Amino acid sequence: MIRVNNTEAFALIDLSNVSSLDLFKHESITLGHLVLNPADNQSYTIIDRFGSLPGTSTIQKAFKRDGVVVGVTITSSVSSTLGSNESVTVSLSNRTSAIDTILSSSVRCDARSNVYDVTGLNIAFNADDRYNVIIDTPAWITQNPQGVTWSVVLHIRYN
Amino acid sequence: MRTYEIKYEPITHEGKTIDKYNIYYYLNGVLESPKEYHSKDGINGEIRQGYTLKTE
Repeated sequence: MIRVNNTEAFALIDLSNVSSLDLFKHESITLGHLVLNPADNQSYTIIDRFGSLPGTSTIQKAFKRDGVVVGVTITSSVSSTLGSNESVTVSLSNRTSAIDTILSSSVRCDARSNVYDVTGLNIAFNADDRYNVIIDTPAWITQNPQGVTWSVVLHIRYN
Repeated sequence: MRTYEIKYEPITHEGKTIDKYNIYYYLNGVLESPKEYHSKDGINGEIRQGYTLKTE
């Protein structure tokens, strides 16, 4: 509503040609999966299918616009048996450009919740690039964790 | 049809063998996802609901 000289009027703004994507420059995308008992030396690929098991590298998402991943938040949750202190490696894989970037190689599954914030990233991507997150497990010497959920939040700044 | 099988896949660490049993889940005979850890003894581990033992 606009008030001019004490006269109220409604202004109609045509937004029909404005994409909702044009209205923001930043987005956080959360990736995750169904709880699992990770085996040694495996690559689990995740996207945003929280109701599905981690898959292989064939499961992928696409970036909507050109942009940059500026940071990530990685959470490792264990609902059953805690693992020994070996770490998993979490990578962002751009399947289109065939570039993998390690986000963290020190993610442990030795507590109910471990949260890792990774800042200062500058991982550029183009619109329609296919991507996923790969979690490479170690050989757990003493105990494999059981009842594990990993989630990865990608903090994105669009161009 | 959802099936599973358990395989003995030990690892070696510092010359010592560590027992590991892993579980494979199949959907209509096709591996559904990367294998999971089952247990140290092949018996006392978790099996997802709705899966039956794979037979040849």
